Amino acid sequence: MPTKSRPTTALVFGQQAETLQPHLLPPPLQDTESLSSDDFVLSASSSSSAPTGTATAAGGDSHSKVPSARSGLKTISDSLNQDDQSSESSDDADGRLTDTESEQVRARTRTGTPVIAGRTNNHHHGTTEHGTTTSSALQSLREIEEHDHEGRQTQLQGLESRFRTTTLVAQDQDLTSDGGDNQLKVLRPKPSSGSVGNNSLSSRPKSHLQRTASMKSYDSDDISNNHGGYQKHYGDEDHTTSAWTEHRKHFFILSSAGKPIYARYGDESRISSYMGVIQALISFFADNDDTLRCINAGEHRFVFLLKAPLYLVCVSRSGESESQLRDQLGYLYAQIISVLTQSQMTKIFEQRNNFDLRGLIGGTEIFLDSLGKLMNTYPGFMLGAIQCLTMPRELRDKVGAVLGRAKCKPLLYALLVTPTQLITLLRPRTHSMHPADLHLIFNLLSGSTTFESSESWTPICLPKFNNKSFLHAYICYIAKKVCMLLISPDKDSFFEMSSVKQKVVEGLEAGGMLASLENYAAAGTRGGFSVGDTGIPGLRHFLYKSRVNVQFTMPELTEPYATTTARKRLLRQYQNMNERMHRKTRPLKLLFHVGEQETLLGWVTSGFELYAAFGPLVSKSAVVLMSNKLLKWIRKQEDSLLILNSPSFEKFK
Amino acid sequence: MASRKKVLLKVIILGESGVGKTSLMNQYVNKKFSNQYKATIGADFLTKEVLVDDRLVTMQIWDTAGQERFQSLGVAFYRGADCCVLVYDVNNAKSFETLESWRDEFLIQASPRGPENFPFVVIGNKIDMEESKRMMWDQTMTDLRARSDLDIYIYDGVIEISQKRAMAWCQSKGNIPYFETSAKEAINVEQAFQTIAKNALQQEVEVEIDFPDPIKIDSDTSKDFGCAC
Ligand SMILES: Nc1nc2c(ncn2[C@@H]2O[C@H](COP(=O)(O)OP(=O)(O)O)[C@@H](O)[C@H]2O)c(=O)[nH]1
Ligand SMILES: [Mg+2]
Repeated sequence: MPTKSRPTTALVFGQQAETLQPHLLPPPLQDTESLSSDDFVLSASSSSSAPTGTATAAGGDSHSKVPSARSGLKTISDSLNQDDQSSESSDDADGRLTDTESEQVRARTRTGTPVIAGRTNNHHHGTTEHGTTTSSALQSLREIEEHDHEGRQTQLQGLESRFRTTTLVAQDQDLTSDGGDNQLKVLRPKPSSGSVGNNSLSSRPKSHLQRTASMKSYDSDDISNNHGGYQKHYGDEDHTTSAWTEHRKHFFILSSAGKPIYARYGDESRISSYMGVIQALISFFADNDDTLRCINAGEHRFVFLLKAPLYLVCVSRSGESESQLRDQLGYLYAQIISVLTQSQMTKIFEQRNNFDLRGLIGGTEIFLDSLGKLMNTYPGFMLGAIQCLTMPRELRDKVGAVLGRAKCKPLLYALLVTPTQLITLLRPRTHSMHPADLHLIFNLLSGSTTFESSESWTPICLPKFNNKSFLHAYICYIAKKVCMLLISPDKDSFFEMSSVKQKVVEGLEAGGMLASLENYAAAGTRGGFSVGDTGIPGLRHFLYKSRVNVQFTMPELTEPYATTTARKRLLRQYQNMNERMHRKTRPLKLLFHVGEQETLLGWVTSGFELYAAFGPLVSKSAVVLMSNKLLKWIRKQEDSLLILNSPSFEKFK
Repeated sequence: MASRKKVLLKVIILGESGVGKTSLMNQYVNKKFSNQYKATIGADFLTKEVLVDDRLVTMQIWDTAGQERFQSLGVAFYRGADCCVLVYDVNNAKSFETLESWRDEFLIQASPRGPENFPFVVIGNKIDMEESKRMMWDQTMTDLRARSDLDIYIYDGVIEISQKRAMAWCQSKGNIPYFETSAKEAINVEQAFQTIAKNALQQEVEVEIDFPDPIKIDSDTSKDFGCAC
């Protein structure tokens, strides 16, 4: 039976002490160095000895030498060993990055050894994200290019096992921080304690609101109405069939007693035996004061996030790294907290450790499901950054001013969003909003259509803001794809929020802004802008994250990334790049990757992260040239692509 | 509890190895029985949906390996159980005598709230065994004992545990329900598990839920995440 662990299974555990303590906040970005684009210029040297044909040939070459997983593994480690060497040879006087894929490239191509024709960026910043000074090297990772999906999987597996002892720390997004030491004061008349089925979530004054608003609550009965009887997509899937086992990524959430809470596929109660096995495994290590973190078995990776009284487990063969998967489990955990608050959950399990939590979160599985989906398609989770709607700054500022002037006392945050892109956010000067909390809001809106039809008023806990208490969100679509969120700590401020909305809508209409907002939102849902707008012919797609603003932007996903499958594949490519570049042992600043279907460039500085996809046969010098052009374009458009200074309410006093 | 979900009950089965824990579970869930002895390693899990007083519940049955007691799986393993089933072999006195320590140890490890009211069920199994079969069984166990990797209990021969004695013990422990079963012949198994489910359900009492305190926002609560939004 399942507890028998096969000897082939590699267990990775221990080392939890320092590595389990991720950042509480996004990486410190107060790097005072100016980060103007000029500091990081890639330029192609027109060295005569480096005909563009070289790189092209290298790309084309790849078909003939498909390395096995083993050789891929070896060559990667070789190339890593040569990191230093390459940085030595690339000391560039003027601080500009030049492409010197000349002799080195050809020489190594001939012998089949990895090509490292990188240049060091001599702008060493004292601290990179991982606190290490690194030399960057343009690495041609032809050896791990993607020949077919499976091949890729195996190779990554190989890579991973090569670095298995390297435990990766969650990066930007740690969802586990406690809510801080906010001073809490009772503003709400304390509701009488009720039983589960009759808890205070559902005991709000419904009747006097019925005329104007539909009350959203997480009470299971309410939700089943609101969601028109939500049918979990794979809810009926039989876990004994291959369809179930073949899913690329499973999520399981269980209580620390081993009782099922959520399964991404199948009926969680019917797979309660698996939950028991998971609990037994965890318990086994817990007895020795050890923590089970990851099991790598064949092409599957089992990642554990222990957040007593909850355990979260991911079983994946998606090729994502341990830390990426653990981050995703962290988001699922945050989603549960947003429904219950941390304090409520802890209290419940302190009273009864055999508690069946499903009764309490019933109806919100839809948001766990949608989160699972969103994390496969929306790069914001991986980047720990949010996406803004592309629109002229002038309009954004004007809209922000309308919101700012509508401020009333209990209003804490006012947001306008297309479901997954931020239009503008008004906040108190002393409070910013964490991207992880915003992601939960995005997921709430995109996970259910229930908010599109009426004004809603719902309790929500934003764990980064405060995981002990609920805020209350007024949610209302004021135009197609334009959703307004007004967040208040006061549960009785529905009517005030509703009139704020009224004021804002009037203000926007008077200024003729609502119609243009709607247009931009419609365009934004498609992608906001296209790669064509950049005027760079070979460029197919890119992700640009401003680390200072914790925001990212990307163009519309057009051909060849128009299908969902292609999108997911591209995101996986970005994820692999991201993982490789942020690896704790040898973080990279630059990564050049020639894949079968595209050539990718990854570029990380303390100011930004760029991932760009080009055609498969593009030479490195061309990539360098285009990337510089792209950066210039982004800098020029920055104030419409990003929100460079989000206004605070105080500005409009 | 106004939940659309079926309640899930965690049921742990304990007792010396060889008394028929795995067989009982298999008989109950899969309606199957095998004469072959297959030692349980660590733990086995089975799931079954049952109707208890018109209420559908899911039983998550945790079958354990008796030989190593609690050491093998860790304390956390027993946490949050809704019912504990103590099994002995009616033909084996020692397996009955250890029930007391199984019970005590469970209470220590699982430390349930209100241990005096925690639902146990006692099962005396293998009531179908006749003299001749017992002799065969004796032989089997002798053979097994020869294998040093299996820590099999010492079979004491054909000493029947009288029903009286068992019932007296159950009564002394706060009226633990008592069943005599045969996993082999499917005698009384269904009834025993029905009671297990019913009593486990009593553990599923309502939990007091306070709505957390609201947040007071002032400049003291300042949260700056270093981002522009
Ligand atoms: N005659 C008879 N044999 C049984 C009965 N239950 C179990 N056995 C046998 O006893 C042996 C041990 O059973 P098993 O379920 O593995 O015991 P466990 O170690 O407590 O799990 C097996 O050979 C079974 O076939 C029963 O009710 N009657
Ligand atoms: Mg057994």
